[in-house]
Amino acid sequence: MNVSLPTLLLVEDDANDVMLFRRAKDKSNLHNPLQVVVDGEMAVAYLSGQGQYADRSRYPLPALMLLDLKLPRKSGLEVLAWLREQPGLLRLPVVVLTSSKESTDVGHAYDLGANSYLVKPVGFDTLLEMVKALGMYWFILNEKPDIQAVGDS
Amino acid sequence: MAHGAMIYPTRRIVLLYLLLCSIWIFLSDQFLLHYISDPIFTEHLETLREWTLIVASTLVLFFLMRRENIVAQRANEILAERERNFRTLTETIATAIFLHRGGRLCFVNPKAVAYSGYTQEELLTMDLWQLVVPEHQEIVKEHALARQKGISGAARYEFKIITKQGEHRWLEVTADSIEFEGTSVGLATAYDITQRKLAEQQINLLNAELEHRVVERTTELETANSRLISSQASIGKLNKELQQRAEDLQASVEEMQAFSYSVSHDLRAPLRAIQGFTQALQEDYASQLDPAGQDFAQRIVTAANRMDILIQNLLAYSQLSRSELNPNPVSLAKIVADAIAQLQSQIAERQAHISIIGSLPDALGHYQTLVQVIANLLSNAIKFVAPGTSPLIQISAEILENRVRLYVDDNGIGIPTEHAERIFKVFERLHGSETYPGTGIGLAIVRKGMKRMGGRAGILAKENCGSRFWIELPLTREV
Repeated sequence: MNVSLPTLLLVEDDANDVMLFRRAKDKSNLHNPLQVVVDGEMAVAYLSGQGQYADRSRYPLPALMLLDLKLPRKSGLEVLAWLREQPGLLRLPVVVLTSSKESTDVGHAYDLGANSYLVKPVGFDTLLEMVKALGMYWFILNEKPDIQAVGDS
Repeated sequence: MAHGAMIYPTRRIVLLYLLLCSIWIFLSDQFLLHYISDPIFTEHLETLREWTLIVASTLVLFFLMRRENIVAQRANEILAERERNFRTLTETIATAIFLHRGGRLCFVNPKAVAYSGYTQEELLTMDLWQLVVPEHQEIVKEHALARQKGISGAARYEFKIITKQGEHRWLEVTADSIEFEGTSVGLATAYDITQRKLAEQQINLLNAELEHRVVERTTELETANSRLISSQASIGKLNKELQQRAEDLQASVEEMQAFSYSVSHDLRAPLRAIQGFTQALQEDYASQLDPAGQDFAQRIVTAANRMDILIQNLLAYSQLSRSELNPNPVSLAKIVADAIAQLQSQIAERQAHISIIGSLPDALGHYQTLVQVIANLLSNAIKFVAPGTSPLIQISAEILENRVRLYVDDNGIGIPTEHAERIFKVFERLHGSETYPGTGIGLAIVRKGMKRMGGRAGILAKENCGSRFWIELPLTREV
């Protein structure tokens, strides 16, 4: 595993979904390191480098965040709203990955600055396709912005 | 007065006679003394003078007395005339006149007789107040006596009398005192105001009735008012209830939204796990599963997929009821093209052939919902064909007044007319999922979606095989 590869942060509370995502990522040969947090507060703590996440060598700032909307403690939309108000962090690409296809959720997510919106597929094959496309698009094709968290510099 | 008139002319005559005789004697004496010197002639002249005096004074007396007689006679005539006039007046006047001394009547006129019903003779033996009703007697008596003593002057009052026949009569009386036959007597002139009194009573009665009616009407009005107020109150109550219901409805709609949100999120999570891990089982542990085990795993995957489609369709259906579908002018040609593009893999798989007959007009609708509706119709047309048949679908449009009707004709298995309405209900299915898999929501979405856009959907009976579905939309905003 190449340690210099940018990190992928998955914010997901469902352990099954985490396992399936890991499996899809492994199967699609996406070698970027994966960090997982299981609620909205942890996501904020990770991104702002609080507590155990202060150690950026263990918990590096991600190049992409995959964000579920329905989360314990702090919803995905709240995390998104917070993120877009943080100088230095506000450019972080965020892909919403959730079960909801509700148009209000989609609209809200884009209003708050989501870069993409994906609905979790039920079929594993579809998930595999999606993870492959994600890796291709966000880590290879996409030109990454400078991300420098406050207090990190 | 009569004495003065008699004494005065008599004295005048006597004085005049005395004066004339004295002047005559004085002047004739002076004449005889100064101008006549002859004594015999003087004697003759004296005799002549005496005779002349007698003749002259007789003449003077005669004329004076005659004159006085004429004057007296004229005075008598005037008196008689006055007497006559007084009689005529009292007899013809429309007012009753009573004269009384200390109450005892001493003169009555015919009107008084007519008012009282007594004869004149009877009246002249009666006291005035005997005519008056008992309740007014004391007052009348008091006033009459006081006036006669000169205590009070003329007065006017009303009282009631009883006629000889026992009838009651209202009189308006003016009372005063006058000289009559040398003494002061009480004068009462009266006229009948019974009619006026009756009219007054009538007016009072009418007034009272009017007042009563006013009170009655006021009460009615008040009752009506209070009824109005109470009905207003009940309208207010109904409004409140209505508002409460609207709030309840809103609350249940919100609950419904929360419910479907939850379904959309949470119900699909376990499905992903079932599907994903079963597939992992199939991939990683295939060697450890015998064919039966592999079949079971495949069945789990299929069932999970079916359930996912079911949930998605249900969500789509419930979203149709919840979201605002504002109709806009849309191109049906573009919508049909979109729907066909969505079904591309299904069309290729079943080797379906879709043709559009004629041109498709623009209509008023909601773009995304219309794409879904037409995709559902096309998907049904592709799916429900006899085994081994390739689906042939024709799309055409027709303009009916201010509406557009879009037809989808197929060569499928058709639908018996008795089921024509059932198929549009949610979860209604005519076939087992083994033969024609489906969720029973597709056509329910079609009908609901059309209804929400102000349109309609239906199916027409077809002679030979196949079905003819139609949807209808307003052509323009103007009616």
